[in-house]
This record gives sequence, C-alpha cells and structure tokens, in this order.
Amino acid sequence: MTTIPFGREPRERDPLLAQAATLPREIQPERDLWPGIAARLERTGNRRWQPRWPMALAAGLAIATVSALLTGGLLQEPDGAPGPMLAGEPAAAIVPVRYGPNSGLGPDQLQARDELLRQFEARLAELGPETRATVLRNLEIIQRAADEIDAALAEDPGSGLLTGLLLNAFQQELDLYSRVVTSGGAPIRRT
Amino acid sequence: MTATARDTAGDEQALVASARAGDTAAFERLYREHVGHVYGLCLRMTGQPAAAEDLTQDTFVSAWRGLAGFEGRSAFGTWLHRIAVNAVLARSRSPQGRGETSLTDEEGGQMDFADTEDMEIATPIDLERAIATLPAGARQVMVLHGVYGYSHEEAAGMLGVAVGTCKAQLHRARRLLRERMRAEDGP
Repeated sequence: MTTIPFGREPRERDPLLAQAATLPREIQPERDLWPGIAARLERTGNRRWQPRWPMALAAGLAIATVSALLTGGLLQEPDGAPGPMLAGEPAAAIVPVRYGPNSGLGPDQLQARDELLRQFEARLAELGPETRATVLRNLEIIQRAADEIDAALAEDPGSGLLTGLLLNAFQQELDLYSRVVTSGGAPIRRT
Repeated sequence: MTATARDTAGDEQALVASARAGDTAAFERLYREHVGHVYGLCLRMTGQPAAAEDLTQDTFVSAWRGLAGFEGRSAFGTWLHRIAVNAVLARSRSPQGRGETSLTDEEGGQMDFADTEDMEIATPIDLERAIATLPAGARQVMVLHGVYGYSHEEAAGMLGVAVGTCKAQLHRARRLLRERMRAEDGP
C-alpha cells in the first residue's frame, strides 16, 4: 500500500522554501545597539508601563484608514454639485491639526500647510454635508494620532519610529487637503 | 522539552521577571540573547541595515516599556518578534518607509510547485540577496513564513492581513525569486 503524500507542508515540497528555512535566523548588527537602548531606558527612568508608546503606534497605524474613508466620500460626491450649505446655516469650523512641541515641524512646513488649508476651506464649503462630515472625521483621526505620538515623543524623543509616524500624520493631513481641493477638478498649487 | 531547554526557559523567565522589576542588567542579557533574531528579522523585512538598527532599538525600548503587559503566554522571543513586526509595519507607512509595495497588493492564486521541482538549489547568499530585492509585501511574508517558519495564519496575524493575502504574497515572492535568481545565473 502506497501512501499519497497528501497534505505535505509546502515548504517541504518547494526547494526555494526549503532553502529559505535553512538561512540563519540570527544576524548580528554591525555595531552594539545596547548603549543607545540603555540611554533611552535611562531617560524613561523607573516608569514601568508606558501606555503612550503602544497607543501612539496604534493611533499612527489607524491613520491608514483615513484615505479609504475619504475616497469613499469623495467618490459619492456628484460632479459639480452645487454648494449644499443653506443660507445662514453655520458651518462647523475647520481647525487644522495641531502639532505639539515635540513634533519638530518647521515654520516652512506649517506655512505650506496653511496655504493649502485656504484652498481646502474654499472647496470644502462646496461639498455635501456627508462628505464634509467625513472630512472632519478624518481630521479628528489625524489629530488624535498627532496627540498620542507627540505625548509618546515627549517620553522618548530619540525614537525615529515615532518621529516617522508623526511626519506621516502631517503628510496625511496634507494629502487630505489635497484630495478635497482636487476632488472637483480644481487646480492645486502646492508650495 | 529537554532538561537543557527547560533550564534555558527557566533562566529566561527569571530574567524577564527581574527586568520587569526594573533590572536593566537583566534586560541587557535578554537583549544580548535576542538581538540577533530581532535585527535579522528587521533587516530582512526592510532590506536596509540602518533602518533595521533603528527598528531593533525601538523594539527593545518598546519591549522594556511593555514588560508589565507580557503575560508569558508566548515565548519572550515570539513576543519580541511581534513588536518588531509592528514597528516595521509602522515604519513602512511612514515617510522613511514609503516607496515600498503595499501588502494589500494581491497577486497570484493557487500555490503551484510544478515549476520549482527541478530548480537547482541556490546558495544561501544568492537567496538572501534575492529576498532583499523583493517588494515589501512579498518580502515580509517570505521572511516570516519562509525564513522564520511562521504559519500562514501566524504571519497573516502579525502583518494584519488576510490569510489569502499572505498566501498570494508568498506565491508572488516565489515567482519573483525564481525569475531573479535565474537572471543572475544568466542564459
């Protein structure tokens, strides 16, 4: 009686995967990374459980949903739709994302953002209330992420990952404004 | 489990307990024990030594801060790997990590092994170099599943993608590896 080799692990059947499994799992870095880690632990002191770091990470990753949410809203917006705001209806104020003192964003970056913001506000007034609400919700997501990351940066200013996440939040804010501005085919000029 | 493995696991548990109590010397021993695994994972997932160094440091700092939340249900090394993978993914979504292929870029279908049966086994150096050239999504799955032996379910869970996506990325990785290693061999 022969045994059919049914259910054999793919990595046993595929020479490439079999070869990959033999690669050394450990690779030592070229320099000792411990002194840098120890310095960061020292700055942390004896604070054992810092909820900020994982919260910042989660908040930073949550920004990935922003584009998808916004794209859905803009796609549903009728092309050339008339301004939906009724006369006298108060529009919710647009507050740009506020970045804390640990963000490291320079005045040039914030100035470029403010120029884009003006075009964004003009275009937003032309959009329907649902799209507008989606945009505001996205800004809130980015704001929450920026707050969490900034708080985590205050505890760990040496983290390249946190700095990268914060820059990502800033970039997402700019992308949000750009997508709204260009959603009606209007030209966009970024500095 | 052998007596030696039990002793090693016991030593590690004791080190984790000491580190949790604030003993940085104990944590340094854990670092020395695991840095090769963590750096290797980060290096292979990013393909960039400098990024891998940053991510390794971030992983251990994050682990130190999260030790109170480590319940010991998984091995300490596995827990570190999860932190490292999260850090790699966060970086890939940051400006430094941009330009890499998204994991949601699904491609391929059923696993097909027929065309690899006769393939000559590559040298480890060839394969290592070829893995480094893969797009991010395919590379991350290849590293977790192919090199570190995680199942598709485990790798998909760590990467936050569907199991089907994980399999499709592995299929893509294998196809690209075959193409690139044949190209290196020449006609």
